Amino acid sequence: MLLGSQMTSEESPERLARLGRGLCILALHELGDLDSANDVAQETLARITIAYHEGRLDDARFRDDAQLGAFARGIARHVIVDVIRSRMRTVATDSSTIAMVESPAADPLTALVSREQECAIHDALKTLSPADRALLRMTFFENATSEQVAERLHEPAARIRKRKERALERLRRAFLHPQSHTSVAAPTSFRSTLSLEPSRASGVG
Amino acid sequence: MQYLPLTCDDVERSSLAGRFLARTLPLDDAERFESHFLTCERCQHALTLGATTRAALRESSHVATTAASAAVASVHMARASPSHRWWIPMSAAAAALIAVLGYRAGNASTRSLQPLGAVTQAPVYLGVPVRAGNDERGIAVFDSAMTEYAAQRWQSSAQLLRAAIAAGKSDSPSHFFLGAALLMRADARDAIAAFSEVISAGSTPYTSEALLYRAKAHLQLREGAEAAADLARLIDRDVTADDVPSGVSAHARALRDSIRVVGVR
Repeated sequence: MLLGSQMTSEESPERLARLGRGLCILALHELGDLDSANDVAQETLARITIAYHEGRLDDARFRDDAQLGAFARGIARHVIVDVIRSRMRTVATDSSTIAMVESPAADPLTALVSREQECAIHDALKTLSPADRALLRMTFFENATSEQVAERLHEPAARIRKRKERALERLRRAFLHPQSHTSVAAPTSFRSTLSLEPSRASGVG
Repeated sequence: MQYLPLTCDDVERSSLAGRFLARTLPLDDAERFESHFLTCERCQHALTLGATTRAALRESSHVATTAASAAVASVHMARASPSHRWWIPMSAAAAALIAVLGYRAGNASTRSLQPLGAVTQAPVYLGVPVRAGNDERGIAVFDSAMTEYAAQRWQSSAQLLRAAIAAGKSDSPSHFFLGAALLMRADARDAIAAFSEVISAGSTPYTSEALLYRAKAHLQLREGAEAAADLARLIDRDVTADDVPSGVSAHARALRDSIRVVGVR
């Protein structure tokens, strides 16, 4: 496969690796299985690289995240639709595809998550107050924004936003550092808290 | 189509990652968000973390999952009931696949409507009954009913509210909370009747929410057109009246968009 080493930018390999992860997430979200998602990501990256060499994606557009993202998304969507069409042609003889699509199992993106990360999130959730877990449920299952939650709870939006940020930050730390997730349960573990990476602006979005 | 690029702050402010995972983003928002996260490591982390958190929250909910446990959105966090929505991803995934393939099968669309009617918490009762002009016994029964309501004993609350109405307290609060209690018991048809009583009474502080929850009840019954009509009426009311809470209005608009996403116009 063509890869970033053929691009002129020094940061190309890292940017393409990040783009590859994004493509895998998008395809996994739509298709539900990791093998197909990886295939879509590889095929899309290959087409992007070819477009770059053919001049259809110039260096300025490649360096601009917004333009590269939009360009990659357009290609990825075509590749994903091709995969779905091919599945439809074989659906009569391959019932497993339907079973996959209709399965009530966990979100397909969890296929990208290690067992350690899953356990870390479970443990971190247990350290949250029932109220904060309820807040996350509203966020993740009812898709409520901080303002909507605040409206329901008759609390200031800023307070809800702060609580949500703290809860998500705790989960994020556990997620990014699963080997040290037990420290989340121990508020006095000052040393382990310091060892965590600097907090980024929080929010699952 | 060219869109203004998103920032991570936009993503956070509009809960785009969570809505993307729930497959409730309108198509143009989904397109913008996808273009953004493809090159954004932070939002990629947010998506995988969000998916893992959703799965963990779902697993932590031990209450049996039935259509009967669908309930109304609301206020009091301490009373948060476990999520009953493991079936949302199933229907949403099917809906997304159908949308990508460019056709809409009637059964699939109506099947996808039902989760949109799901609710997890009853609307809160603030304990300020309007007593003017009501029979004393009706008020006493109403108070008892709302004690049961606060304790989430829906059947008992509904029975007492019916008794209060029969005893003369046939006003908007009684019918509204009867509808809410019935909705919590997944008795969507009777809930619709109760909310209709509120709506037919004209403009009261309960009218907007009655429209919203009647729409939810219709969705539980897979009556997308009726739900869409109630939401349209509520959104119109938001334009012409000044008593629609912003949270109710925002919820109605989001729900209307979601209905459109699953194919009911």
